[in-house]
Amino acid sequence: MQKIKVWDLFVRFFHWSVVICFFANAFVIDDESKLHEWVGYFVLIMVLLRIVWGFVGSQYARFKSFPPSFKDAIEQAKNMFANNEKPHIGHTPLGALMIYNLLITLILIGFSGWLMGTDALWGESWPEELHEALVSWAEISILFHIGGVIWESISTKINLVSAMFTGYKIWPTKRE
Amino acid sequence: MKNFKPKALASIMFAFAIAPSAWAVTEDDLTEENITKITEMLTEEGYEVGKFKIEDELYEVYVKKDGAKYEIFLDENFEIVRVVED
Repeated sequence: MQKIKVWDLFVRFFHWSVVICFFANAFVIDDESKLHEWVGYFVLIMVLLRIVWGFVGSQYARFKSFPPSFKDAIEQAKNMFANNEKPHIGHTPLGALMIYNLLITLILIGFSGWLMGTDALWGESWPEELHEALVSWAEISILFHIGGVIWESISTKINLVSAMFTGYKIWPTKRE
Repeated sequence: MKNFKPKALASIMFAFAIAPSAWAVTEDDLTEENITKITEMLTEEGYEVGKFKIEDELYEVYVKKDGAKYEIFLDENFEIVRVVED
């Protein structure tokens, strides 16, 4: 067994604060309230900080450690279904695509939410429809994200959920 | 307390109890006819009328006036219940 530090404190704080704020804004907080707006702007700031962190953060937080690659993602998917998945230290290729998808979607959710309150678009229906459609897309993506994490944790025997809390991946065998 | 009439009190309480359901504005009330009526009414008062929603069993109308943004809430009789500035 080997313990490898993968997620720094900011990555973990970012992940769980966005989880809590997204869930609260989607299901708990009155979406007509000022609190909904503030929580939304907080998420937007966190995403922007995460993007900065993608250039200056620790090794596995950097975008260059998980470049978007459809080729690698397809390869990973094939291995998943062939029950031959190789563990990854940082993000997996499919995980990476999901991260880019969620980061972009969260930015667009925040932006469309802001548009709703602007002088020019106050009372227009389309920014709200766009905002809601993007939230639905994020919710579907999150379900796939959770499904992927569970699948990956079982198939590689590395508990990815606890890694996002502790920062460490516990490798079942010694890494080559 | 000489004039206390339990039956009258009971009927008043009953009236209040059923009142919210009788007065509630629902999504079904968002008809073209009602929207037109409210739009005309608010336009006459100088508001620029935007989207309509139902909130707290009232009509909620997004409007602008003199550069300010408001949400106007109206009951089933198209009476303005409250105006909230954004």
